Amino acid sequence: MIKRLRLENFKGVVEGEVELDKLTILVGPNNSGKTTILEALFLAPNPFRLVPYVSQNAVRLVLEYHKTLFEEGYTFLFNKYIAKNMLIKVDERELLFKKGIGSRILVYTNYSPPGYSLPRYILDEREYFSLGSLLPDSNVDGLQDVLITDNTLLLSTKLVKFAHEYLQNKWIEILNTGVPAIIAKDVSRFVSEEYWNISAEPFLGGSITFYVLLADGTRIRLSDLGAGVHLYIVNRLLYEHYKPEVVLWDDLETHLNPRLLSHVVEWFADLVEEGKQVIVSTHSLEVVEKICAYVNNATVLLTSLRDGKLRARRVKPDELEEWAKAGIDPRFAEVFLL
Amino acid sequence: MRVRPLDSKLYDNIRSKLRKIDKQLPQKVLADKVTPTTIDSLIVLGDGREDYVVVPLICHHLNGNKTAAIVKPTFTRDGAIHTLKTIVKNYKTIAFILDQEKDKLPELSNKITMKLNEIGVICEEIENLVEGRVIRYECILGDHRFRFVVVVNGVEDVGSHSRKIEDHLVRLAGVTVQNDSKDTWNELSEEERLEVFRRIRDDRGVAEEVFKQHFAGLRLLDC
Repeated sequence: MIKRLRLENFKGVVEGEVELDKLTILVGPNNSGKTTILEALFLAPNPFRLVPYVSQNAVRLVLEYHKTLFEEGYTFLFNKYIAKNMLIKVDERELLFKKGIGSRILVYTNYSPPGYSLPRYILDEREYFSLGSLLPDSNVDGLQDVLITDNTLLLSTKLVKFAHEYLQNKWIEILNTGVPAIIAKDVSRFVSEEYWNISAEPFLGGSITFYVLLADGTRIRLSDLGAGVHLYIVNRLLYEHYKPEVVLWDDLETHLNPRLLSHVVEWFADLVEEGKQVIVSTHSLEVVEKICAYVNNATVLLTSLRDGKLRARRVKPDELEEWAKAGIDPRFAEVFLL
Repeated sequence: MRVRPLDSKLYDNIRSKLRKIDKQLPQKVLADKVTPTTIDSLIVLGDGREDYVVVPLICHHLNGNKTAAIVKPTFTRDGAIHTLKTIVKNYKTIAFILDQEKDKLPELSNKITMKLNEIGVICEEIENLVEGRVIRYECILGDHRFRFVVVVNGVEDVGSHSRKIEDHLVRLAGVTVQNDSKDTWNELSEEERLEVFRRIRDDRGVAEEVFKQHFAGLRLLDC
């Protein structure tokens, strides 16, 4: 389990540390570092590793979904784009990014995984091992199969479009596990139709797309379902195929009706019971209440980011209740409570 | 002084009402910025609805660039004091605004000090202003010292059988109260009520004359 995350010069965070639990809920205003925490945790196991999205490796995926036009390179990961070094530290394992010659970014770790002989370097009198490089043209050159920390998977509405092509490429592997049918039937509890499976078949013009299959044999394109159902199906498929140790879900409330949300939270409770770790971000107190109801000892972290300093206050569910009685909503009052 | 609501429902209540008075008013009255300078003052509303407009409008006339947090606890009147225990330590000054209703002022004052004592606050009355409608206490909770200012809504001679914030509003509106000022106020059209709020916004002299205790009490937040 990941217990502590420390960041230095990563995106908007100059410096900061958060303590994490089996199930952690990040709550805070916009620009308070919630997504940054999740992205750091997503990169932490190894930015070069393959992840179940079409961009293939973790750092490339982060680059792709932050892109607005045609910008290239990984400078955006560094605070204000000008920091020379950047650190993501999970418990005692460090991931150090250093700007090198010609806009190349060198990635090191202080952990040498057993069975690998990584190139060794002494940086600032400390021993590090090279994992690879991030290149100015957005390509990467690094070891894909090394894990420095527990493996993580980032789930978000922003990532759904990157998941489809990956799922298509891996479809036969996924289909033959029987998981799509289980997920389809599971989702049927929250919609008026009865789904009995998910398929990848040609759509108009012959290109392949995903469908849910109804009991009467008709098909509905996955992307034509309600956004919440679509999101849940894709995320469950990704999880079941990739089986990470840690699930990271950004903006959990987005698109989810309260009933489906309850189901997702119940799934989190199952994951935690199985020994997995779940870290979510949300703006919704309803989400916080639901998770605290389903998962004993869920931790609520109230985050704030001021002048680059990331801060987090651990809040107990009964404290939230007391605040509510006093007319205080932590999403509005975070600056006074931290 | 600007106010910063600590709850989304209160924020929307204040903002939507101010917006009806003047679309630019919310930006002037509310502190929206998430990273303000230190906020050491808190306004606690014991009662709601019209207080949501009146109190921020009066704050707008007072204390320069200061920002005060504002809350409306779920319990009303002196019951709201019970909810303050968890947040008192964050503030140096707290103003508590409530309707007098049918209580006598000394009885209400006793009720409030008893409620404060029940949550562990030791308080000493320091000052009594505007004929007992503003009371300043110096208080201690654990090792935290703070100023607690009680502001009691109500006007003696307006003719309402129960004293409340609407006493002040009907006086400004210039209408006669038959029985209860709240009923009289609610019988006015929305535009007539908005005109009263606009007078509070525009004419500080008139507002200060009618809302004497609010001006006197909220001024004490600036210490």
